[in-house]
Amino acid sequence: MQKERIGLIDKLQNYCIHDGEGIRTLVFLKGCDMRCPWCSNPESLTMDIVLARADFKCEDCGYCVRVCPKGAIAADYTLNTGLCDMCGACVKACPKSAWSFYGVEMTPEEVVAAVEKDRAFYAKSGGGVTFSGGECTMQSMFLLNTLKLCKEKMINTAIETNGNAPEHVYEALAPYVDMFLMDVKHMDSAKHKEYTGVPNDRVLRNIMRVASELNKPVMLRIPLIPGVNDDDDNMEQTAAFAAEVKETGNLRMVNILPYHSLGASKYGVMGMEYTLDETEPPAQEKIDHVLEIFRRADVPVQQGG
Amino acid sequence: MNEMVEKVKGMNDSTDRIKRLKERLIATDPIVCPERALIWTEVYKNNEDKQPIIKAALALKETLSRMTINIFDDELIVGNQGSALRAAPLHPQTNLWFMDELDTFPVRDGSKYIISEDTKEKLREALEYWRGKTVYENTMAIMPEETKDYMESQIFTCNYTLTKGTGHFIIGFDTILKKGYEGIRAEAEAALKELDLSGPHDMDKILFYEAMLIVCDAVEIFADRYADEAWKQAQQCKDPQRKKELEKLSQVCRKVPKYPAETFYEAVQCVFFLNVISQIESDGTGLSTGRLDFYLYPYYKKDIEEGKITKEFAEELLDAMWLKYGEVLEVWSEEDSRFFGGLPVSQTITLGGTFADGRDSTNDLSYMMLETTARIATPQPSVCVRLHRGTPREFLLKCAEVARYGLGMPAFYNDEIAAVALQDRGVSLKDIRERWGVAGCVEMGIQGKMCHFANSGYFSLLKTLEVTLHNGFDPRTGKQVGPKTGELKDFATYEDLMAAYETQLKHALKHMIGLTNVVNTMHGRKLTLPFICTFTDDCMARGLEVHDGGAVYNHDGPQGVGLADTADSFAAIKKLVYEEGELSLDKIVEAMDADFKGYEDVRAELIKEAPKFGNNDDYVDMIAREIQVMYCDEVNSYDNPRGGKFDAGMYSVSANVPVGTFIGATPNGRKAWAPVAEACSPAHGCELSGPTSSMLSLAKLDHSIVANGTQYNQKYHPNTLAGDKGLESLADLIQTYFEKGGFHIQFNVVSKETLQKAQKSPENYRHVVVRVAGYTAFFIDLPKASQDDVIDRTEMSFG
Repeated sequence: MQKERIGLIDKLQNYCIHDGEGIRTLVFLKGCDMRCPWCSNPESLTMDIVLARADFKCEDCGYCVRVCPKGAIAADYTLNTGLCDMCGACVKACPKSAWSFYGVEMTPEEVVAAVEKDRAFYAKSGGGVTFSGGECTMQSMFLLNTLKLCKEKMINTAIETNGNAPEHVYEALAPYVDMFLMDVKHMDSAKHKEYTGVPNDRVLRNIMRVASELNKPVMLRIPLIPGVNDDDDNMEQTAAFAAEVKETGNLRMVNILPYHSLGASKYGVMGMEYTLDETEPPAQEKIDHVLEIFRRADVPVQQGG
Repeated sequence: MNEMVEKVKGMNDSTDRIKRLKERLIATDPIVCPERALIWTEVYKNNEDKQPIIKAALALKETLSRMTINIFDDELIVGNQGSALRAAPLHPQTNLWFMDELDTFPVRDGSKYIISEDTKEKLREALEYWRGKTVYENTMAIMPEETKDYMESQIFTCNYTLTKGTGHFIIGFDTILKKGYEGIRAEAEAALKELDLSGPHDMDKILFYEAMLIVCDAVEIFADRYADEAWKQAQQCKDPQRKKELEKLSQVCRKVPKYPAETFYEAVQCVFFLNVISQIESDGTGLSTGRLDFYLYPYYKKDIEEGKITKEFAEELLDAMWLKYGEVLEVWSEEDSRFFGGLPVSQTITLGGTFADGRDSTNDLSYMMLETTARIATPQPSVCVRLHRGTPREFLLKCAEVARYGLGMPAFYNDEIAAVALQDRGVSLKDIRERWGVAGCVEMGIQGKMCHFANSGYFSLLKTLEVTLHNGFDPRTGKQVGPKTGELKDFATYEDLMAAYETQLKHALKHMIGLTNVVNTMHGRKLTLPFICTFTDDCMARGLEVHDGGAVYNHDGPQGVGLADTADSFAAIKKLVYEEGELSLDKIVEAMDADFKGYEDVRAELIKEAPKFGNNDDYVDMIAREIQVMYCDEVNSYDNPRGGKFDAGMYSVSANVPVGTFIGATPNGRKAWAPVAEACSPAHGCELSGPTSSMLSLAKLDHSIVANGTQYNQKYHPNTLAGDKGLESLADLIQTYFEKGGFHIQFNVVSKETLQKAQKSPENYRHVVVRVAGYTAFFIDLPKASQDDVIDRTEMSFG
């Protein structure tokens, strides 16, 4: 695969209003270097195309079992990945679209052509495209080429990143990015590693660098996960960090993103285990309390994106 | 409603009085009232020697003189169409269908009414008089067998006009506010002085003006009875506050509509009297109020400037008026209630818009009426807004806030499209700017100047394709219904098939137009509307009744239904048969005839391997446009008997569900008897690319040739529109859709879960209001199939 020419895309989603300014199209790139248990896009974590079946869509017609030329689908619809050669006969045959490929290869031109379709809505609302994931910087050459093409077409661009890419990646991307949406998942590096698999040193350094040296507008995204990062101590520290970023003059907003379990059903489809079954979304009082912590630190903050 | 994501900012709560009025309204079940039907019948029986317009005027006068009138506790605005709070009158002149349904009114699926044994007995006895005299019977006696075969096939249906009155007038209340009925009387008397029987049309004119004098009496008697009742109640009232209110009410009813209105209170009461009398005279839906904010504003402004009224009291009057609209009811047959679920009346109010010179006319009342709509939160009146280049952003955002509130209102309309479409149909730009408003669901009406059979019928675009693929034969009825346009083997190219479809469409449409012309002519003979004539220009000036061509503009509109399914079907055939050769036409029709049993592979291919309308894909969107233009151009080429035009519409109300029940499986993979897509919306489950893509697909249709209205419902999960960003984005979506050429859009903002709960325990969800399709209804009043349909429509929950 030519990395700069072909990207592995999870999906494109129109009319997104919580991921940057105005009405935006989100491009979800596949692959991620973190493994956060609250991730609502588990299908986007790996860098490969996955064939999977959504049980709740299945009408039990058995048609996929019959059409599979390799006999890879058992009567109970389990897939024998050893036999499957990803020919797609089941995807094509399923009348309810229960079988799907997760992931599609696209060129920068194809992505931008799809993004351009909603141009009228961007113009009216000040929106554009946001590259998300997975972690969009995992496919940095493809991302760079696609961003360049967007700017040639005068499309407003944003990237949503976990902040853990090497410094030079952000440096290369920055000229073509109008807004950085960057996550702060935990201020304690050890905890950060415990929950996401990587420490936070590079994340925090990159955020400061994007806002100061690269001089780009930043929105900080704080997922609020009960029992993980929602204690006052961590939130106070996060707010203090946000206040530091604000000093650069480039902090546009802090988004508090309360935990939700809307992605949970996808774990089952992907054959993955969802470990936050017991976790309840935070109560509004709790969210208000967190918002207040940030307000006290005198940083612009809002619930949701 | 727990679904309402956010309150409308700065909106006052309703007063305690309004809360009581609303509670009473919601708790009251609809009943059937026999009074109007019985009095009307008696007058016709006793005046058989008189001409239709005199009989109608006398019947109205007798009814308004004798029917039970009520002033209920707490009321500030009065007027009822029947003997109780929610009492629907019956109109036997069109159709006697209800004689067979009297017993099932309280028990049928959706749209239920209570009816007493006494009422049933009286109706059964008296209404036999109309047997053989109704619009329905007289029409069917004329229609050729070929047309009846089409009707049986349900390639088109004109059931609405065969069972109900004309409706769809936008009441020219501004005329009455200015002149009063004494002014109308003076005009009629002056005209009569000039007439004898020597002129070629003098007899009809003399009868017309004599009828106008009877109508003036009728209206004045009705208002006087309310004035008397208010005064009587005032004398007996112990509460000094209420006593004062009743005395004031008595003065108001004594003055309007007899004399010109001078205050805001008088103007509001006058408009409501006109509305309720219209509903008594005709049982047509869509008797609309039009530009209420525009024409009432001078009265409000004057009262405020002179310190005669407070804003708070004006709000309370509007709230009370809205609740009175909520009382108005019509009776629908069980079959029709499947097409028009949820007891719709479509008393439509159009806010915003422009002056005659094109300047923006948004005023304080526009905002107040939006807030009233949100505060009252009942399906009636149906509230719309006109948007144009000069609409203030602030007003648009207020509209978006109310839309987000979850009522399906206001519906949004694009002035720029209306201007092009209506000018093309011969309406002057000045009239469009000042007087265009929504007549009923989505139809473009001209206030006080148009006689509008807007709901002429529904043409099944998809059934036409099924018949085309069977060489003019309808597999369901087993009849050769259309011309023989070719066996499948004759369609060597895609263009051959499309040409056969066009032939079938034009042939069927000709029969539909024929039926429409006969029905609508019969309406004129059987359902003369002298009251409507008093405020519909130029009836008074020309001495001509509305059905005889008295109105300045005369439009008739039948709607095309099932556009998305038809386009998706053609796209599947074009791609899979003619381009890729994956399937043969024979195989597809075989699969259709088997309802895809044993042909699951064919069905999957039809569904998944061909593009679907609503995803911003030119391949199929342009086919949709081609079919829409084909249908509309053909409809628009016909003239109606009143000297006007036919205007195509592309809306379905809830007809998409019953229309589907007559169509077998279709090449878009739709199973037999399933609903078709509603209005111009994408087919069920095919809207996979989000709301912006659907909007762009819809905007590719040619809305400017659809003067009877296109219609597009979008459904959102409340979360999607939360916060200021949600609001701004909704406003941006609407404006972008309109800039791209869309005409109408409305939103259902309610979660699937709530509707499913409402279905299970309706008693707890009496308040849940949804947009059906061009109008709004209480969800629990819908028949089960329409409830399912609303639930099934794709819920947009992105971002």
